[in-house]
Amino acid sequence: MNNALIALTGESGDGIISLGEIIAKVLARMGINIVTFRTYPAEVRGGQCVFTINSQQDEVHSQGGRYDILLCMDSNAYTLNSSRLLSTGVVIYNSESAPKEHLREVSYGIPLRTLASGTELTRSKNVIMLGVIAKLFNLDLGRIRAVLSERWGKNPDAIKRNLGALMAGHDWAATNLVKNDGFRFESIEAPQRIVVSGNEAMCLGAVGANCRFFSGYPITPASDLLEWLTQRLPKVGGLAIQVEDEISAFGAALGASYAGIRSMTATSGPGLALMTEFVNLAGTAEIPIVIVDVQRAGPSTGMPTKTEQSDLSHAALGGPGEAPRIVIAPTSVEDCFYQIMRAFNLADKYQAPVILLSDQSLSHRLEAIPIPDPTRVSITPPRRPNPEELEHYQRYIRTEDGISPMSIPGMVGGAYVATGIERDEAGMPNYDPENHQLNMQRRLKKLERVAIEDAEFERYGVDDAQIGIISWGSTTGAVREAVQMALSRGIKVTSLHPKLLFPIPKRQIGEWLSRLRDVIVVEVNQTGQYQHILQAEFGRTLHPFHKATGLPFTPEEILAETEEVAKHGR
Amino acid sequence: MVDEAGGGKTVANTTRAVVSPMAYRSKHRPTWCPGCGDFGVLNAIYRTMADLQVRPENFVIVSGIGCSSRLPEFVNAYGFHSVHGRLLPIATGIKLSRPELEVLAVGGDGDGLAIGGNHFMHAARRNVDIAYVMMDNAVYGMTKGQPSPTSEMGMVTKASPYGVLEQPINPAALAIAFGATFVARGYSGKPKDLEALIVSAISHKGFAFVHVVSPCVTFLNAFDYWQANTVEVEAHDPEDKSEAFRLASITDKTRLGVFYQREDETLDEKYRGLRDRALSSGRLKVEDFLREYR
Repeated sequence: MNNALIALTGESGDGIISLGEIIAKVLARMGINIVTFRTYPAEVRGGQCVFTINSQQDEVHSQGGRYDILLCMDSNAYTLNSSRLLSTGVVIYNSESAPKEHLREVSYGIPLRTLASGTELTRSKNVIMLGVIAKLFNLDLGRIRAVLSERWGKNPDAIKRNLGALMAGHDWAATNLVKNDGFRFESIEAPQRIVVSGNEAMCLGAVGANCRFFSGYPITPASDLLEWLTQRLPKVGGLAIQVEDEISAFGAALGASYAGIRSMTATSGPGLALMTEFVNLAGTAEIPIVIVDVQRAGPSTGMPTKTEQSDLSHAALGGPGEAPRIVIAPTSVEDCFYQIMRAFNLADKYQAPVILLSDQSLSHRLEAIPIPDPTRVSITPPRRPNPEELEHYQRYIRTEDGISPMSIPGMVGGAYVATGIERDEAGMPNYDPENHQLNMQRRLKKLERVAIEDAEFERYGVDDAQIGIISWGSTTGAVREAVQMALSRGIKVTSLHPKLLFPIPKRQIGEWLSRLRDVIVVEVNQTGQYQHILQAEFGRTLHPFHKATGLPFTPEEILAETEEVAKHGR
Repeated sequence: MVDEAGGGKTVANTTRAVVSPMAYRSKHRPTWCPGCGDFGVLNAIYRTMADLQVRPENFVIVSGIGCSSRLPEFVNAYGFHSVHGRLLPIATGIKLSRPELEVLAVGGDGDGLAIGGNHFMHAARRNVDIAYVMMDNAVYGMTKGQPSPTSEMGMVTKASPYGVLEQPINPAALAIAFGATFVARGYSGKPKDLEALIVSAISHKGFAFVHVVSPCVTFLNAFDYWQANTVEVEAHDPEDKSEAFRLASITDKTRLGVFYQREDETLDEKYRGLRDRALSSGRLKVEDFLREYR
């Protein structure tokens, strides 16, 4: 009961994503845990769309592997997706565009065109299917009605049409289908939660962190942040603006930061590339700023709607010269909320750019999460000069902890010139060799403190393992589930998931590595970027496990690799 | 957002003694070649600040990269000497987030028309309330003499050994086309007139562009030419866009003065209005947004 991986498949334009979002929300309100995944074409219409909902009575942390329930809006959807259906699975298909293959699985044919024809329901085929699913698997009708009504809240006609479609599907299934499978959902007691995507959680966290200025440029899969924040920042007294390119997006946010407002921009790999010159300006001019990179499959335009973890090297090391920057990665939808709050704190504490690496799979993943508590991350006030310091103010004064008090316009006596040119302590251009050396030391020394004071990790598995898995960002959930699977099969394994990717938290990762015989580095890219960063730091060969298919890892794939390593050792 | 900032608005102190232009000089002496046209612009800015009795703490000068972009370092005010061509995005971010600040963007022709050309168009059409002074010497001085987007066709340099093949850009005409609400041209050899133009530009509500002919004494010494070939613009209706464009485009005797000026709502005012409307039913908090997702 309540455990099923549901895959909804069809053409882009069939309403697959809406259908998935509605089912996910209904399941979550029934107290069931969910993680969704979606993959879709970059074009507005045409191409195949897949939305999966991994629903579990207990915990769930990944999008899962093979499907239990496969819904196909047309025959092509079955051809493309049936290989991932378990032999114990169920197919729901459109009998008027039926699969050409012989169906071995339990299957239910729905005459979708007939049900939709002659009425105003032609645009609501997905909701007719929702009615069928509700009947077959016992989804709560009251909650479905509530979710539909909320979704089309401002349009009574649309609510009426969709409720009609829902019941058309439901009633047809009640009369014509004989249930022949064991999948069933039942409401269970659960504390109140919210259903959000990674992108939404990030926006919510940014508001919680007092971000009051956002500038961005549309790019898949980061445009959600631009849209969400332009809509809502004015309501908290801030503003968000769409500008002419990613360079301008960074520049405007940096200007607002310079003026003392917590600011952010968001982009994907191609946009981060354009921002790179600015990242090191922010680093050397010591101005806080937060950059969200929702990574997608590269290189270049690549596959904009597919996932990859391939901007790590660029985020950590790309740029003219050497300037401090911090790279962090959230591990789950809930973590998106808290890590972006931390990102603003780190930016203010170290007066440095903080790049937060999300990716397509995490950004569009829906999870039912406990209602986030913004007070869990207290806001770090920026280090401003006090009246005494303003009397003989020097913006880049060399202090013991490496942090120079930063004035902002409006402060009498605090005037200085922020600049990318090397400067003396007062901020005036200075090319003396000794001055440059001292400044380079001071600026980059800040990173040592970050690694010591601000490293966060998630850890799973058992302490007495000899096999370790290290991964970051969105891959964490799949590793976490793979570790559980391995343990249940008697393989002792431990996993480590640093949220601080750069600077490298040497002590903690070093200690963890030293206890292990074999270490697998799991990441969604072709060259093993994190593996190479770790190997360079720790001088030790690590076992690479990476892929670049545009899809996230499944727990099963990681389990299989873990079993291989356990069998053969080193 | 002002109320979120650490600094806050500083109200002009009426009891304060009159500040002289020299008080706006920073300790840092200009690094330009003796005789550079930019000295005339810098002095005009000092006098403008004195004319307006600007408070240094509320005045921000933003620049890009190039000889002229060093200017913020020579002024006693807040400054941001950024990266090549990106002065206008930064100036926009400062003004939108802290509208009570006076923001002046300064830079050169290569900075603003080549690498930063895209931002010029968009800053102008947004009508964000900043002034932009472009010091145009028609050459890349800092990198030692390559042609710029305003170099005359045929100009021979180390990077155009067979002569420049492209047409030059007319920055003032361009600004009018982009939708700037104040467009003027000055000449650093006529500092009194230039001062008046910069005062008007800063006082103008909206995006104000001042194109300044500011010759390079080292790589393209054209003082004699400009001295002889510039005249005051004819009296005309400053809201007549076609006439402004025609006057700004004349090349046999280059016109100096205000070509175009029009009052319009600024981007910062629009955002203020938008925010006031959004806040009229109370300021929301993150908890209010979290409720949307239950």
